Amino acid sequence: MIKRFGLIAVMLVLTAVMILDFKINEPFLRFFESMVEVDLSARSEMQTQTIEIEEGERLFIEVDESRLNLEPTKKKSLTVTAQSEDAVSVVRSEDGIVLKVLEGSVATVSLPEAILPQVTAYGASVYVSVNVAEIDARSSYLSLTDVKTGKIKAADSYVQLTNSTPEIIETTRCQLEIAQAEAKKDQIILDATETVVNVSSVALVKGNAQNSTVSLEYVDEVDLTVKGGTLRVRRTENNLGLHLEGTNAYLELGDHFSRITAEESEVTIKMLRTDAELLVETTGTEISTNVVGAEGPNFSYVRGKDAKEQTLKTQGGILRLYSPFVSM
Amino acid sequence: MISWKLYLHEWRENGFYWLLMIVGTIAVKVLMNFGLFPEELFSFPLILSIFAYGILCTSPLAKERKNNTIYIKKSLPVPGYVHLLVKIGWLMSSYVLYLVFWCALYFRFIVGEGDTVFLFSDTGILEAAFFLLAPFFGIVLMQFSYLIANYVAKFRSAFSFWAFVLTFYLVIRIVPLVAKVFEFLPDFAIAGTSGSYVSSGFILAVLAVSVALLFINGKLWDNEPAI
Repeated sequence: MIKRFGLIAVMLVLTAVMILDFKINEPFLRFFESMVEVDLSARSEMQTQTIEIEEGERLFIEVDESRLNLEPTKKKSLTVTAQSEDAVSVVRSEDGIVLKVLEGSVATVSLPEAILPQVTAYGASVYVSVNVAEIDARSSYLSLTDVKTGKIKAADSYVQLTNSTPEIIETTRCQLEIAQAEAKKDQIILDATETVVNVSSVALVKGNAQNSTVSLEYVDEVDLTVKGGTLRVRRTENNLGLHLEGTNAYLELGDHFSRITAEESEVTIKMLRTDAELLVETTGTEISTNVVGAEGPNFSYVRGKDAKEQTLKTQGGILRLYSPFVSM
Repeated sequence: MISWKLYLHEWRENGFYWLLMIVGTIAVKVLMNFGLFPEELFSFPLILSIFAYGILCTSPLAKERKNNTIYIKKSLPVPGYVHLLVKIGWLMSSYVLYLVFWCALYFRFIVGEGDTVFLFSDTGILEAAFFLLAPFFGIVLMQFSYLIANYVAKFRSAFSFWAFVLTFYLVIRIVPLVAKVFEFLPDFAIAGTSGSYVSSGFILAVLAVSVALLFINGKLWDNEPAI
């Protein structure tokens, strides 16, 4: 009896303490803070300088073999934090402000919203979470989070986009990773050359890819011209518009609208639904299929009633069309 | 050896539920092959199994009491924490087996054709620590809230839930303190972040608290009040 009431009394006291603790402190925050640690030791020794900047004034940032963080700030002036004042040089000219991060430095630039910087990076690690006018990166690591404007140009770099939709992304010999954690509503415009592109959960992907390895997943709408290289499209939701030239493509087609043209390509199409409709026009294309009613050099495969229009025009190359529900 | 026998006993007692999940998972796959179940929902059996295992965390304990086998177990020359550890071992090993089975069955949906599968990434140790430690801690906590509820005669479920919330609160308060003790140990860098690390002290603190809870649970199991 004593044990029982003692336990209940302790629990009541503990509940009161817990409620008070949650009201006054933030125990969950403390808990997660103890889990993830951010290296602040270097930052504590850093020097901060404030630079006055007017709205509409242009800002050029050059990073060479260094690390740069671009963060937003609500202040009207620009702040630069680095391990020493010498690590960053600031030059004012008629064109605007030129900010150079010197080799081997770590700098954090906090920018007001109205300022859209133009960044040039070489052999650098650049972490961006502000809107930009343009980024030109070479042999760099580029990470963009919540960036909604600007033109991204990258060569021989690793580019990671999270919840970011710059106006255009031009990449050459890069690895490009695009993922949207928020609700898919934005579009990505690509111009990729010899690039490995992985896109996931984006509303619209448009543009060109040359000799690249492109993988698209959970994309609502695709409008791509792919020349050479490989393309993999899985779990697309709505519209699929593709023009393939000399490409090795693997496409999963549901009941969404599709319009595909292929020249001298090796195309494998998996029909995800048995009631899907696909109109195929081929010329000089080698065909293998297990889909009933899809035989002959120029064939038209039609099934189902409510399926949306899907057309495929191929010229040359190989076409493999199969349904996982029909045995080969 | 006696632990192994207890482990096999767990399989005999609770293996039916595991088998039921396997049969259910196969049934979903068969329906999917005939086009009667949407392929997009291939993870449905896995989600269902997580809920099922959530219930299974304490039901083997309740079953022991219901079938009166708890007294046979208590008569064995084995401390209480071993019994509980065997139950945790069964839960975790059977779930890993189920996961392997599920992955094998839906492999095509998970990775797609021609994709390369990496079993261990750069942060493999970190992932393994979380995937093993989180269920271990969860089960121990649920066992504790179940066993502590034996101290009351009525409203055991509500009391158990209350105890669960309070214990969880205590743990989130204690873990940061214990983590400080292990602060000298190296941390794990989080890939893709700038200078962010998962503190190995945190992982060890959760482990230490979980083990401490396990021993407390063992004492509660051994000294169950007669109500």
